[in-house]
Amino acid sequence: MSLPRRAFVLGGHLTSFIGKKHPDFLWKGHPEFGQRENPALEDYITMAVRGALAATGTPGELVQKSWIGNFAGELFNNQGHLGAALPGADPGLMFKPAMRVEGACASGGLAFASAVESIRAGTDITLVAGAEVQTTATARQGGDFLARASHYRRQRGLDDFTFPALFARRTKAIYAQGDITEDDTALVSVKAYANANKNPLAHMKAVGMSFDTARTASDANPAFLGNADLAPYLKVSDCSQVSDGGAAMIVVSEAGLAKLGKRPEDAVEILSIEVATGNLYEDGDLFSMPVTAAAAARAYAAAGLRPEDIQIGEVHDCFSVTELLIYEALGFAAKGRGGTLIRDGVTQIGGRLPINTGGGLIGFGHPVGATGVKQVLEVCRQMKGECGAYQVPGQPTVGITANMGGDDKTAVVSILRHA
Amino acid sequence: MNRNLLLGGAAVVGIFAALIVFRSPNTGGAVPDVRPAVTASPDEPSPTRLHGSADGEGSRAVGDKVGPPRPESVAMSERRLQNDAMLVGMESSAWTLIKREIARVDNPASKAFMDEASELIRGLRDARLSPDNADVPALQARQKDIRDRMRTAGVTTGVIEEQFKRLDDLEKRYPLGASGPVTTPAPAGATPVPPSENP
Repeated sequence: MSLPRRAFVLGGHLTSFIGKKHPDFLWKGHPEFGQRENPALEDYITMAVRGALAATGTPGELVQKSWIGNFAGELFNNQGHLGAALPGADPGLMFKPAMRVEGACASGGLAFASAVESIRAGTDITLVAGAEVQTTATARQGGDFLARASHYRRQRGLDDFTFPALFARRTKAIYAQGDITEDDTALVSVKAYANANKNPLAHMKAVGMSFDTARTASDANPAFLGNADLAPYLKVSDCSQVSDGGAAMIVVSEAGLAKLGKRPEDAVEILSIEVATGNLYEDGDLFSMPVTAAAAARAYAAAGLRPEDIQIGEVHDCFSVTELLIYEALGFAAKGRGGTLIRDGVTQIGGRLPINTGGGLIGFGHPVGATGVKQVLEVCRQMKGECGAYQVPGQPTVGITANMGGDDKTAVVSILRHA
Repeated sequence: MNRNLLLGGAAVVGIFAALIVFRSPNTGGAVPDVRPAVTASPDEPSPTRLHGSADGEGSRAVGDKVGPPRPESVAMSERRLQNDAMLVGMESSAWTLIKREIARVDNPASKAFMDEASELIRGLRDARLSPDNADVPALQARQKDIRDRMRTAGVTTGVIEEQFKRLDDLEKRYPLGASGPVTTPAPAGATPVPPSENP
C-alpha cells in the first residue's frame, strides 16, 4: 500500500509489561499480596490511552477514530466489545467511531494498519491502542486459550501448549537441516534478556539469562512440552512471556499534525505498511515465513527501500527461532542464514542492525494485543533518542516492524522514518 | 421396565465411552518457570558467547549479568553521537523520503536519480555506522550536487523541496567541525522528552 497521504506516528505511551518474575507482579508469595491487585484489562487500556493523549498533547475531543487490538479478552477476562472501552478512558472519545481488531498476536499491528488506511482515506487524527491481560489464567488454561489462534480442531491435540509445540516442530526441522543451531537460538534468548535488563518497562527486567542456561535444558530452564517428539526442541528460555500490558499511540496526517500544533519533525513518518494473510487451515513451510516475507516485500516496494536501508527493527520473536526466521523473511539474511546475524552480533544494540532493543517478546514481554503497537512505539522511541540505557548509539532514522499472528498466518510489516 | 433399564445402561456405557474418547491429551505436568536463580550471582560469572563462531573460536566472553558496558561500546556510542555521525544518520532519513518521492515524478530522469539516491543512502548509512572511515564533507558535496541536478531536471515535488529544506536545517543543527557530543538544542517548538518509563 503506497501512501498518497502522508501518515505519522506522533507518539504514544507504553505501560510496564508485567507477569511472573516481574517484581511488581502480585502472586501468593509477594509481600503486597492481599493489599492490592494486579491491574485489570480496563486499567491497562485506560493507562495506555490517557498516557498517549497526554504524551502527545492530543485532546481526546480531537481524535476522530480509534482502534484497539486485543486477542482474547472474552477468554482471559470475560470481556469483549473493547471498542466501547475506549471512551471509558477519555470522555473526548464518546460518540466517535471505535472498534476492536483481532488477528491473534498481530491484533495490534492490524489496529495500526487500520488507522493508517483511515488516514489515507481522509481522517486526520486517530488513536491506536492495544492491550491484553493473560495472567488471570493458569499456564495450561492460557495455552488452551492461545491455541485459538491455531487451527484449533486440527492442531490443538499436538500438545497442551499448542503454539510452543508448533514452533518446536519448526525448530526440530531447522536444526536437522543444520543451518541454524542450538547456539543461535540460545543467543537470541541471551540478547533478549540482556536488552530487557536495561529496559525499566520490560517484563524480564530483573531476570538474567546466561548462554549456558539458554543453550541446554535443565531444571532451571526446562524443556516443558509433553509431546516427547518435540520436547527437546524448546525450552522456557526460548518462549515469549505471558504478560499483561497496554500500549497506545496517536497516528495523524499532515493536517492532523497542524491541528495539534506539531511539525513533521516532531513525529515519525510511516513510509509504508502492509498486511499479508496465510491459510489458517493448512500447515506452512517449516523453514520459512512466507506470509511475513510477502508483507515485507510489499512494504519495501511501497517505501522504495531495500533491506540494507533499514537501521533498526522490532520483530516478532514469539519464540527464539522465529526471530531468526524473520531476519530471513525481512531480507536481512538469505534463507537459512539468519543465524549468522545473531552469531556475529549484527542485531545487538551496538551492531549494524539492532533488533528488538528493548527485549522483544521474549524479554520485554508479549501482552498479545499490545505487542504490535509496542513494536511501533519502540522504533519511534529509538528514533527520538528516548530509550535511555538501551538507546542505540547515533539515533537510527529508518526502521521496520514485523508483527505476526499465529504460525505465520497474519503479518503486518511497517517501515518508518524519522521525519 | 426392562426397556428403561436397557436405555439407562446404554447411557452409562455411552458416557463412559465418551470420557475415554474425548479425554484431554496427557502432555506432561505443569510448566515450571525459569528459576530466579538464573539471575546469576556476580561472583559466579558464566561465560557467554556473543560473537564469533558457534564452536567458540574467536568468541568473546561476557558475563551473565548486565554489567558495565564494554569500553569499545562506550567509545563507539560516543563516536556515533558526534555531529558528523548524527548528521549523516538524519540525512539518510530525508533521502529515504526523497527517493520515494522521486518515483512519483513523471520524468525520464527519475530512474537515474532514484539509483543515485539509493547509492547515496548506502553511503550515508555506512558513514553513520563508521564515521571515521567515511568522508563526510564529500557526502555533503555529493548531496548538494544531486539536489542541483534534480532541480535542473525538474525532478522535484513539494515534499522533495521540504526535505531539501530539512537537509539545510540539519546542516545547521549538526555543524561539521564541531566536536563533542551533540548539544545543539532541539528545534524551536519541539518538546524534549527525557528518557523515562513513559515514552
